[in-house]
Amino acid sequence: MPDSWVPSVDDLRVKLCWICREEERHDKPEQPPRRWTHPCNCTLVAHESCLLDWITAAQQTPERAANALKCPQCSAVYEIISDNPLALRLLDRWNRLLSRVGKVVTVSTIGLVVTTFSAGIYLICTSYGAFALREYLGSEMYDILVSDDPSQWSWFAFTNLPLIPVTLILSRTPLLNNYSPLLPLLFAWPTATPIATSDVAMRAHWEASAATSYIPMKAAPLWPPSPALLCVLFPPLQALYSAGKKRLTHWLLDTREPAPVRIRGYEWAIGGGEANMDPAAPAAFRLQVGAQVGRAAARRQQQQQQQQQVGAVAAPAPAAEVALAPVVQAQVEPVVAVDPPAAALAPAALAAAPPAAGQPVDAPAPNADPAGAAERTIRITGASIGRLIGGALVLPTVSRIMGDLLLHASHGLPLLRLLLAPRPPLLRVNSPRIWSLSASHAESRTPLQWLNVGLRLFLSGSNVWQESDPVWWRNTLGLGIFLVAKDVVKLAHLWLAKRELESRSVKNRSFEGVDLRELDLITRAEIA
Amino acid sequence: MAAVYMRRLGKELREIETEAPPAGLRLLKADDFDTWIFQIEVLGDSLYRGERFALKFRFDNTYPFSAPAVQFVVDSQMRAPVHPHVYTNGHICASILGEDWSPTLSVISVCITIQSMLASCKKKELPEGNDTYVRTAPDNPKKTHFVYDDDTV
Repeated sequence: MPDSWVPSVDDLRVKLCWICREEERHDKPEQPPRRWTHPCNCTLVAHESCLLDWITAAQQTPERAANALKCPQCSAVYEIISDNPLALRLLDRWNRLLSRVGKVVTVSTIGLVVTTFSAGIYLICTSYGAFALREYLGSEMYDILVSDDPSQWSWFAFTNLPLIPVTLILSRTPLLNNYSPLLPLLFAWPTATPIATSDVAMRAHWEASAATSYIPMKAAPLWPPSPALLCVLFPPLQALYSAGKKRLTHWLLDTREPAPVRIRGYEWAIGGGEANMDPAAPAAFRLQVGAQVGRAAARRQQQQQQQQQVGAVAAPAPAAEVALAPVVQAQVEPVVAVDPPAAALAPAALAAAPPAAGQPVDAPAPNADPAGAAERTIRITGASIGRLIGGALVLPTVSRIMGDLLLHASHGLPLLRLLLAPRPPLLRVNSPRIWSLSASHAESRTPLQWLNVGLRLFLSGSNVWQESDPVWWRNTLGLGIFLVAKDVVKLAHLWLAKRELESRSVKNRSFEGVDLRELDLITRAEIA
Repeated sequence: MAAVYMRRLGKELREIETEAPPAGLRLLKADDFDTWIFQIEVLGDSLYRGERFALKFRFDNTYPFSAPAVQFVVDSQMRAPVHPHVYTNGHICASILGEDWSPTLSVISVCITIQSMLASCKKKELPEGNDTYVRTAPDNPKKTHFVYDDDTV
């Protein structure tokens, strides 16, 4: 036996398969013979068929697949010799590629769905924003500042327009109730430069020297006030108005300022009816008014009729808001002040307030049960959400209609005309000349001059705002009048309801038809 | 494969019956090639001194290419040992019963591994999330995807 001789699996006296545990002695070969293999560096040997089965089984189990070709004892890697033609390898590779493509397709499909959905929302919001802005600014200024052509929009149009419906709606919720619903319409546009419509662009091309600076340098009219000034003045004006209204309400209804009630929770009832569908809500209103004047509870039917009338008068004002007791009204004051329909969020849970009927005039009736009052919740129903959103989105149109009415009325009223300061339509062809400043001016400005520029911008807005017909101004005034009128109607309703309760008495009747013998009467003689 | 399963289990059973099984192990039931039950106790000094458990093996015709389903018997008489890798429903979290299984292992070697797993335990405690697992666990522990994170026990 030469030294270089190295034994192989066939030289073993006894072969034990580590997989099926069967033995084969070299002097008693199996019939039919099965091939043995020694694929690794240790002493394990196996039937080739057993080993291939094991490898296949391991490869099919994901967590074991990585080690499928390793000896479990010595970790040597098995070498598989197989008939693996180019066609099979290509197909394998193709299959792997397809799996990878499949993953990409899945991910991108999900992405596409999400993107399409968001794009749809964005589209709707932007379209509404453009519509609202056109209603509010009037078509002339809208065409100058924004236009219907998105390719002309400045970058903030793409962010500001879709935000308009969002902020309009938010301005009616407690989240943003200290801001005017018109802020989103005014914000960012005051300093906007006119967009380059085709004719303007053409002129700009020819008049290359005319810089695209539209900052006012010349003296500008101070009336109407600039939108920027209006934005700044609005919150204090509104706070004043709210405070005044609150006092007037308390004076008219003879109520006291209640302790502020914290809204404990929001109750969702999307399928539920609106607040005034809840028969308890109007009753609660009456009960609370009644409690103030020391009278008994209201007759529900009559009051519901009354509500319908009021609801019909103040068109967008939901009838539910009259269901607001003054107490709660004070609590949701900011919302109501900005925009009365915001009372869509009226706590229907008011019904939970104690029916403190027949209490003395000065009793703090609404808060007779402080615990109960403190725990009031705001009930959010499908109807109330719809009314909140619808009421918010209709504001720009209401504002436009009111603005038109004002303009119409101003024809006979010189003072009103002065206030509204309407201007004749601009001649579009001339517009670039009106707005452009020669470049030479822009070169030599001292910091003080720049400050001056900023101040003018703030006080009177950019040239576009100075020289266009201030539709936005009369629309703002119109909306203000509308909101005040609505408050007045609501207050009047509250006051009338209170008077009705106060004036109640029960009609006295004689004993006509009653058997007089059953009554213990004072005799006429006694009287005499 | 089915042929291998019967032949191999038959051979393992013969070996257990002819050669005495290792100390602490006793075959309680092996009437068929579906379910075998062993009595298991940890000899010597350990937290489980004097305790006896029953270890149940369930086989299918993929044995030995895949691991048997192994768990402690939990019934009116038997309890699973309190051990960080043993759930109260008897399921065992051990990698050799899952991804580290190989045909080099056998029923007896699994028994010995579990015996030493108990013997080396330093603190009797339940696995983390035992209650949740027991509530939701499938009947067959092989259907559970364990994450083996602790090699020390």
